[in-house]
Amino acid sequence: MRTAIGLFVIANMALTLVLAGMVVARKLRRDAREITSAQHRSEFRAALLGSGDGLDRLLRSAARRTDLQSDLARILPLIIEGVDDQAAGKLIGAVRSCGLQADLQRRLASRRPATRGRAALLMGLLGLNDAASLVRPLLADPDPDVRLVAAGALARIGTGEAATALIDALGGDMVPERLIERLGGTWAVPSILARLGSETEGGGVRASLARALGFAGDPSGEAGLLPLLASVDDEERICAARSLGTCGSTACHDALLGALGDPEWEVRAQAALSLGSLGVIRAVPLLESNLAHQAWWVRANAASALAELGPDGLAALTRAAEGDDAYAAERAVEVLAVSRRRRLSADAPGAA
Amino acid sequence: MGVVVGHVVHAFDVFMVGYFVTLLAINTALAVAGWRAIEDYVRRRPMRDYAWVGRSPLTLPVSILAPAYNEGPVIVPAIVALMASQFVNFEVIVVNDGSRDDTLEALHKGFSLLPAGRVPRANLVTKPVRGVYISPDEPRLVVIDKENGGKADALNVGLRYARYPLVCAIDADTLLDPGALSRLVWEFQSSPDTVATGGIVRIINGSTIRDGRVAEVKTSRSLVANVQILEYLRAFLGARVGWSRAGMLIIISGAFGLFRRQAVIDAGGWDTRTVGEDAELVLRLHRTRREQGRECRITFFPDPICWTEAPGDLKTLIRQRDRWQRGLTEMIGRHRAMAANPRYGRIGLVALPYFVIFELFGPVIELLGYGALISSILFGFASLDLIILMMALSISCGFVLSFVAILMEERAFRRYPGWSCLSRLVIAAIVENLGYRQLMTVVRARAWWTIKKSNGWGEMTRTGFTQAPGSDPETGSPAPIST
Repeated sequence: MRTAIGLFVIANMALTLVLAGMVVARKLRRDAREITSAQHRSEFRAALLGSGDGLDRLLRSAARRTDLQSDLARILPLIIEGVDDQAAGKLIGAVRSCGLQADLQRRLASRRPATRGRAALLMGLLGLNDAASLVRPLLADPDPDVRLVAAGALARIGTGEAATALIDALGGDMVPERLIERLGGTWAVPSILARLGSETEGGGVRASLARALGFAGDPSGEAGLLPLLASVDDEERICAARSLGTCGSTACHDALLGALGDPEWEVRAQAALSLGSLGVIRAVPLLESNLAHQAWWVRANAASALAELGPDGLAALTRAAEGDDAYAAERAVEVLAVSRRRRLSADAPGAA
Repeated sequence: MGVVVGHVVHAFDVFMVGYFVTLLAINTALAVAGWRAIEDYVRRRPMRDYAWVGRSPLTLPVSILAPAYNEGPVIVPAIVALMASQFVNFEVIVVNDGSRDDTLEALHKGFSLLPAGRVPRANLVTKPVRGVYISPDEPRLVVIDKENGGKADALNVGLRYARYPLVCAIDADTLLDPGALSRLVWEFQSSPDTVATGGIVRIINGSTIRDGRVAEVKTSRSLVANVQILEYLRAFLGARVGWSRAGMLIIISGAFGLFRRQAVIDAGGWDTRTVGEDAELVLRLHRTRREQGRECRITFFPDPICWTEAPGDLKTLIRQRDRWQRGLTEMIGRHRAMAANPRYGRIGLVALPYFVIFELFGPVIELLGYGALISSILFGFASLDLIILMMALSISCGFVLSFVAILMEERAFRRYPGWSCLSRLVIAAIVENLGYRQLMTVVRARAWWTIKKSNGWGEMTRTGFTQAPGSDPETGSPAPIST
């Protein structure tokens, strides 16, 4: 008994010493790694921004070493905006010729989720145009992190094929918002419009595409959104009304004014906001009548929209504040007070 | 008579050995599970684009609930620091819980508050609300003034008025890392069945704070604080990550947890009758969702960081631990029907029995063990060398677990970069096992007595949003119950 306990104590103490040694060794190793990582990133930066050479050599090493791939993935997002087209073309050429693309492609099939995800991430950061078809299968990966990183990579690749892959995934298991946020760029608008014109697309997907058009904010998106305002699907009308606020022109004003009378309160609420952000002065009477709507969000959004519409809107709010309808007055008073305080702040000496 | 006593002592010794071996086995299993989870996290970290979560317009928005009680001097800078979060879409709901000082006036003055007509969006019974205010200067801020009802009641009022699908309950004297919310939200976005997730709470003592941010992380000059730093590391990186990995997490610190709003409402909100409302809520979420036959994924995430001030002296520390132990007792008492009940799966069959045996009764059993050892020596049933060996075994096991926690920290996070910090943690690991742990055992066992004295259930403790330097941090800190 004594011997067994004694041996256990000795083993524990030995293990403690080993662990202490591991802590020290780990610290020394990580300190050294941080120094070399900083050097690598500095070399990548110099090579990519044209003030250094040896890009081929660095990428050839990166094709064999995951630590260099990590350093490249860390530096790319920080400098990619400053890389001109010529340098970007040179980078992509070098990535292909030195075997890095082939290595990343191999890693995409790894059994380890982190390896697959990191390969997809780097492919996206490098903007490899032909990588969309390689990354696309990862949108159906069993690992949720890998699916998210694949969606991000496809958005960075930013080709029609990438947009199609993201749109196709809208009908799958991924949360739609994670795809919509990635589709919200002008690069994806032509593919979205083409898909919105398709008769076979389901209502949920069309609503998601409408939201993506809103985030893209591209005026060409308006043509795809207007028909959705007349859809029988509530969600499609809600999303279209919301998105027209960022990409609509005068052509959508009448449709949005019509949406203010929609039986679905969420459509009214979104239409009110959009009319405010588009500055549609003739919406004032309708917005004023919506100040008394039974849904709090409609009242709130109508009041916010009126505050955006200059003297006419403020006059309508003042009338509502002094009116008999307690609900309308409540919203109007709050928005007027905020608006007044903001104007005073803006007029104050020293205000920018 | 002597023979009978000898048999009793021997039987108790056998029980203690069994208890000790089981506890050691569970702690080892948790440390192994924690290690594997952290290794996995470290491998995944480079592919997670947290910055995007902070920027995306479709990121799940968060309502931060900040209860305040008598926080007049510090409330405005605390809110300003919160507002500087890198997260894209959030609102801060400050609930003034009937403060007797100038908390509400300070908020009025600091943010030019205006009365607002907000409608509660959940039906929870709370103390009456006296007014709702918004700020024209800071549209993400909502201030609610209510009658005094305690921290849980204030959180429930915040929950009623919260607009967003996720709610983050933050505690007094806490500072969030700039990217902390993005990291927690990632968990909800990558796994939509997530109901709640907790982040790591770290101790701020010794670190440098600038403009409401932790500018430089250091260990403290105070040994008491350093021992707690190590204790938190072991509790969070070892035990809590391990429990989370095994799908059996039942504690999320009140200082920093993110919840799905509707799930909390469905479970009835925070319990106003307990001092451990944070842990109780998590257990109730498990319970109600399982009873409804719904998924209940509750996780712990080792990277999003919330900083809190730890008690710098033993007296305050003892009060704090006494309160935590009472909270644990109340939580288990309220949900005792779940223990050993197969209906609640792993939570009922493993996690809760563990907390009952090793966390609730553990301190008492340990004290009885020390008593038995002393009796054995006095009555000559055991030799001194055997007892010394047993003590050495217990202490050496503590060393191993402490050093595993330090290694995990160094492997994954390296928040304490200097060698001096590391050496202080090593010293703390030694001191913790040579007196501190035993003292905490006595304090936790004493909580059985203080519960009785305070007439058992339902004592209310007020907690503020943030604390002035030097004030009592007893009530504001998290509960690293499991070590």
